[in-house]
Amino acid sequence: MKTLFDTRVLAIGLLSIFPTITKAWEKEEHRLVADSALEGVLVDCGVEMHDSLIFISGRRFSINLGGQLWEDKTFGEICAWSSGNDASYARFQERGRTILQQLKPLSASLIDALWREHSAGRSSPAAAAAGSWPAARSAEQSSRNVIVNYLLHHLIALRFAKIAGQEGREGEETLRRALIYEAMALSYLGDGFSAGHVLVPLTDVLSRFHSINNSHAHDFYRSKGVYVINSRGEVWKAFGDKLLHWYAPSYRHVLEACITSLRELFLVYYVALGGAVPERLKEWGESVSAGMSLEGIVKGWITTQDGEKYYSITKMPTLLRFPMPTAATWSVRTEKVDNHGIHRRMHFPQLREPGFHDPDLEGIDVEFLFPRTAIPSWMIPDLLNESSPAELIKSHPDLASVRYIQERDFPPSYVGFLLRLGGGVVFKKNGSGSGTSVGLGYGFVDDFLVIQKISVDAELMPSFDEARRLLFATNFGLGIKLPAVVGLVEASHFEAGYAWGLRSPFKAHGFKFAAGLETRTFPVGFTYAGITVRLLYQRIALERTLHGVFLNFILH
Amino acid sequence: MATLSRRAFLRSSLFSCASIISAAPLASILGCASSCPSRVTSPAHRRRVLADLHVHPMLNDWIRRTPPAVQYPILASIAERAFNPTRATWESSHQAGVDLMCVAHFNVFDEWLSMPTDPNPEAPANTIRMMDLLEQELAGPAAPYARLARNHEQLRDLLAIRKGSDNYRIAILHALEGGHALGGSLKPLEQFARRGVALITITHFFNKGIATAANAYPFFPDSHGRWPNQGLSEFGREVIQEMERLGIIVDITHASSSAVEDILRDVRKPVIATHSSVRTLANHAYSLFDEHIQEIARHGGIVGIILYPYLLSNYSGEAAAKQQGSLRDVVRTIRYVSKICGTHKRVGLGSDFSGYITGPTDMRCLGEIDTLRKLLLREFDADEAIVEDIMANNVIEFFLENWRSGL
Repeated sequence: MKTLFDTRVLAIGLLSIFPTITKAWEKEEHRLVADSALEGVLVDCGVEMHDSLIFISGRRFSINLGGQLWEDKTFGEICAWSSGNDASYARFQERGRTILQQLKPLSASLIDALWREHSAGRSSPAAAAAGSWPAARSAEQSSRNVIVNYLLHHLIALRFAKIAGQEGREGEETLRRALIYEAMALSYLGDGFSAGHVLVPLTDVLSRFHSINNSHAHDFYRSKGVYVINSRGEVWKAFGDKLLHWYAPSYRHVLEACITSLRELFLVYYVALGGAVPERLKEWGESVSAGMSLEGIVKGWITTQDGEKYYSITKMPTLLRFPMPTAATWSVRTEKVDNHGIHRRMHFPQLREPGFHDPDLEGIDVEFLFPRTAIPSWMIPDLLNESSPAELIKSHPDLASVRYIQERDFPPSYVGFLLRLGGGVVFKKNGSGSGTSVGLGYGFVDDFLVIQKISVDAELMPSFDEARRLLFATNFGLGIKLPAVVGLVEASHFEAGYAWGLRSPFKAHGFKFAAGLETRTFPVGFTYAGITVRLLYQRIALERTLHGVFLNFILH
Repeated sequence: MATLSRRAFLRSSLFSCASIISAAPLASILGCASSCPSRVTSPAHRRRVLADLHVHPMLNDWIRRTPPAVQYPILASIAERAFNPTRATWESSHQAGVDLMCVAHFNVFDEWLSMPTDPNPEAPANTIRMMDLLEQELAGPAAPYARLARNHEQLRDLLAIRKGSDNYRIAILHALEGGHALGGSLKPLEQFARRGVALITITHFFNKGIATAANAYPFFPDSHGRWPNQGLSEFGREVIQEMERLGIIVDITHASSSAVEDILRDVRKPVIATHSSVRTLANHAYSLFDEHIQEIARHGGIVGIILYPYLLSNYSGEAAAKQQGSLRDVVRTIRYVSKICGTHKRVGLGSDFSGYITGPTDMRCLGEIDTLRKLLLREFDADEAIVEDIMANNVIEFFLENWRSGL
């Protein structure tokens, strides 16, 4: 029998198990997406592609947009630089809140104030001619969420684009400035699509004292993925940093959002410039205008208003693309058909109130639904006015109730400080004694392949066997995962260390070994801490060997 | 008091460690038995209970005969215990009143260790050996519980025997999972047809030169996209034509969207999806689009729903499905397929039990099928006729009308 081992099987297997090996670094992902988006939009604008990107406007001047725009950085590099501190609050969505809710705190006055700060109050070409612009810099609001920070930078960019259009031939510097702020905006936009930035409970008071768990939550959702829905009725599974290219739908949504944001900017520019808007850009503008003129929609984007209105009333195209985590949707069949005859389906989030969600949902799913007041009315399907959800599910051929069972609460991390408490039986030739222990330690690793919960700790064992025997021990421990065959037991656990007797006459010292079983981590509710329980057989070689069985509780 | 030497201490410590690490899993593995729990209920006077389109009661036995398992039997035990938690035993299925089981034959090595351009010429012989193994089982330990039907006439005769009588047996049909079993040639089809193979799932995990496969493993990235460039190959077209000539039913489960589209365009007879799911409810490449389901139904085919929750809903991962997946996922899917087909008559069940899937938390053994029946009765307003159709009659009628091999 001649058989060949299918190397594709091997490759697929390796890629599946170690996806992170093949991925770009996080900043590089920002740069790639930004540059790809800019390239795509410039094609819409009728750019002649040369070795460097040259932009030809309707009035025949050129700007090198592929070159360095600001502080020796290209467009993509500005985006990558701006992504800076990935752990900053300004780069996260607020867990459990919709786009509308997250934009509510953004007032028109703040938008105006920031514009004045970054434009030195010059809002027209004539005013701009009075002096040079202030130095471009980040407009990050560190206490605001990622959607607000995107919108703020983007609105500044749009206003500069408008002035650049009005300046015409003299608008090169202003257009360059618009792109600088847009590049910064795209860094927030990209992070807003990252699974690790959507469900981390950053605003939770207790989470602020547990930064290791925030980082752990970020990594957990990054690799597990999160089912998300946007305001255009699209649902996909988002993944996180360094996994951008691993899952095509996840990448496609980020790229399309960045392209949309740049299209908004260039449409503003061309409308302000006057004359013809490039054909493909015009087509796109008309597709999102809902019957308004191009001037009309652009005016809506530029006009100062409260943040939520850019979303709920103006329906800025990029804002409609931001993802929100979803537990259940109404999937409605539309008349649009693709090349294969498959109808496009549009998703609407199911809502918490009775009459707006599938009555068959589990309790925990309902908890994760948004309330009706948290979304605009145009995100509620008209079908729900026709009949009850139960009846629609049973009989309406175009509607389906779709569940997305997310990882609600990530398991607490073992990495960080540990508190150890234990007690047990010490075996003697005649009868038995008892022992207790209390210790502090530090966990290094949650899990790696078959190994888990690697840590070191120091423990005090008062009254170990004899009343006056006080022991101090240091331990190094790790677990080896077991197949899921024995209920709560997750792994075997091994420790090796050294113990010292501290109190006369028991001052002997020697090696300490322990082996046993440990359970999975039990989350301690809202604190993001967890408890692992271990049953260990311990042996300590002192002036005689002490051995016994101990039950340990590890709080981490 | 003499102290223990350091070497003796280390030796005794290591021995203690080894004992502990091995005790727990060994006790579980060696102590476990391949049996079903006692939740099996007898069907009383009910006429039909279950026609299962896709089940693997012999898979463990076959795997134990493969060279790695013969050399290291403990590995097979560990694999069964850890990765094959669902059961389909003869006795419990008989006790529960199961009417029909399509026993799927699948040899993992024939599929995983061959290329589409270099198929394994021994695959047909291995397939025959699997069929022989089943027939030996049916002639031996399983004889009181099940009997093979080689054609639709024998099937009809078996099904005519009243439940509760001493002669009642589960009707067993041969089914092949994966066109790799052909070894790259049309010739074995005739032999398979004579042996009574009722249906062939023409592709499985990988493209083996017949049709592109949809990603079914949870941890595989969906790298093929929604519509792979290739669907059904030229050879695949020939396979389907020959199958239809011989009266073997074409099973499109596991096929990619492109392959399903090609097959539905090419076939002239009704097709079946033995153990499938719905893309609208569960966004997996494995799942069928509504339009394809409706096409299958329009042409008199059957869509069998798999009892594998991970593929029936959008779980965050296999672990979440294992903990939370239940028969409610199955019921929702059945309800939806009935709705979009406009009738419940085109729906069936293909459990895939004992096929290395993680079943629902509320049903681990095929003999517990009454649990599903009760849920379906609740869903369909206690209409026994509808539920009986879904669980058995639709599939039985389909085979009696469309299966023509083995004559």
